[in-house]
Amino acid sequence: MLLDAGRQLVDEQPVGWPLEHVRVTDVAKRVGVSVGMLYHYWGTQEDYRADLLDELFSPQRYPPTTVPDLFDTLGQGAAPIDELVRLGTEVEFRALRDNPELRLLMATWAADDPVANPKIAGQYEAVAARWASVYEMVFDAYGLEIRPPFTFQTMAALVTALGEGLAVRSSLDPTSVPDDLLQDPDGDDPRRWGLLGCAFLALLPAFSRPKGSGEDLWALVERVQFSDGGDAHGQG
Amino acid sequence: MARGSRPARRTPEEGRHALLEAGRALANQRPAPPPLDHVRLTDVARHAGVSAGALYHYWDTQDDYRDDLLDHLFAPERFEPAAHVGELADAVAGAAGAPMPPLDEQIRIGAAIEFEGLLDNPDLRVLLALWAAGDPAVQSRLAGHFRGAGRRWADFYEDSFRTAGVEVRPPFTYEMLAVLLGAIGDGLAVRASVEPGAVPVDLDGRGWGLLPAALVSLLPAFSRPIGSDETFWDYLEQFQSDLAAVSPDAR
Repeated sequence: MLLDAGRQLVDEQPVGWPLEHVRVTDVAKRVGVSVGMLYHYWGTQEDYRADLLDELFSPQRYPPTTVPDLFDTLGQGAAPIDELVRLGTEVEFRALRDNPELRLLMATWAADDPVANPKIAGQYEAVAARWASVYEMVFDAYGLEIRPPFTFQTMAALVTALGEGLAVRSSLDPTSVPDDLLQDPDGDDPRRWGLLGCAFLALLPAFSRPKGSGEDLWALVERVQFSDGGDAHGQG
Repeated sequence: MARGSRPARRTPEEGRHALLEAGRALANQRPAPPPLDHVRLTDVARHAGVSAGALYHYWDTQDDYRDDLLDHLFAPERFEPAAHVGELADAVAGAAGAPMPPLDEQIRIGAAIEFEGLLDNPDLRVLLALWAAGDPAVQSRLAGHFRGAGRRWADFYEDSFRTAGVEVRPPFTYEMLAVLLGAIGDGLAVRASVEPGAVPVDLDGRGWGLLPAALVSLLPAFSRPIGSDETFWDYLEQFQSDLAAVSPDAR
C-alpha cells in the first residue's frame, strides 16, 4: 500500500521540475564569476532557469545534420539510394545516441510542464522542417516524390520518433539495436546495416513513388502479399 | 572578480551568454535530478493516510524506500501485454463468430488502440524520466524492463504473423521487430503529447493514423510468406531494380 502510494505520486509527477537541479551558484562557479554578478542579469534563480529553458530549446540550437554533405559526396543522386540511407542513418543514429541533449529533452518532456511543452514542440517543429527539406531534395534527385497520404512532415515525424526510440533502447542495451547486419552474409561484400537504416529503407517504398506515378499508399498495400483478405479499404 | 584579470572584458551581452552556456553545460552533464529524488516520505505517508513514523517502521531511510519503489515501478506485471493482447485480438476480430479481418485491418485497429493507450499512460513519462537521469543502477533495471516487454511483444507478433500466414524475414527477428515498433510508438507518443497535429490520427479520412500507417508500410520488408526463403536483402534488390526501371535517368 505504501509502495502503491509512492507509485501514484510518481505517476502524477515522474520527475522533478525541469532544471530544478541546475543551481545558480554552480553556474556562477563554472563561469568564474560571483553569484552577485549573475543576479545582475536575472532577478531570481527561477528567472535564470526560464531563460535557460528558452536557450536549450531554441529552434536554432539543434545540431546540424551532415546528410546534405553526404548527399553531395555521393554525387547528388549518382550513388544508389540505399547507400545514402545506410551511411546517413549510421552517422545520424550515432550522433543522436551520443547527444546528451536527448536525455535533457526527455527529462523535460517527462515533467509535462506547461511552460516547457510549447518550447519542446517548437524545437520538434524546426527539426521536422529541416528533415522535410532534406528528404525533398534527395527524393527529387532520385526521381521520386512523396507518396500520399504521407507528407514530408509526417515522414520526418516518423523517422525522428523511430530514431529517438531506438537511441533510448540502444543506450540501455546496445545488443537490442543491432548495427552490424551483414548485407552479404555468404559473400565478401563487407557492408553492414544498422536497424534504423533497415527500417528507413523498408519504409522508403511506402514513403515514395516515382514522379508522376499517381499511386497512393493504399494501392501499394493492396499489391503486397498479406492483404489476401481482399478489399479492406473499400477502394482500389 | 578584479577588473582586468581577463585579457578581454566581456560585454554585458557576452556575460549573459556565458552564464547561459554554463547552464547548458551543467544541464547536459546532468539532464535530470537523481531518479525519485522528488518523492518525499512525508508526501507518501500523507497520500497513504498514515504517519511518517509508520513508514519508518518498514524502511530505515528515504533512500531505502526509493530503492524498493523502483522495484515496484518495474514490476513486470505492470507491463504485461497478455491482458490487452487478448483485448486487442477481440477488438480487431470484430463481432464474435465473424471471420478474422485481413492483416492490414488488424494493424489499423490494433495499432490505433495501442497508441491511444500509450498516450494516456503515465508509465512512458516515468520510464523516460528515469532513463534521462542516467543513473547506472536504474539503467540496468530499465534495460531489463525493455528486454522483458520486448520478449512479450515478440511472442505476440510471432502469433499474429503465423495466423496471417507469414513469418519474419531474415536477418530480422521478432525481437528486433518488437524493438522497432516499441521505438516508433514511444517516439510518436512523445511528439503527439506536445504537438498533436504532428501525429495525425486520421491521415486522409480512411481512419488510418500515422502509427498504423507506419506499421503497414514496414510489413512487406519485415515479413514473408511462411516457407519462403527470401531475405531482406532480396527485398532490397527488388526495390533497387524497381527504382532503376522507373527512373533510368536518375543514375
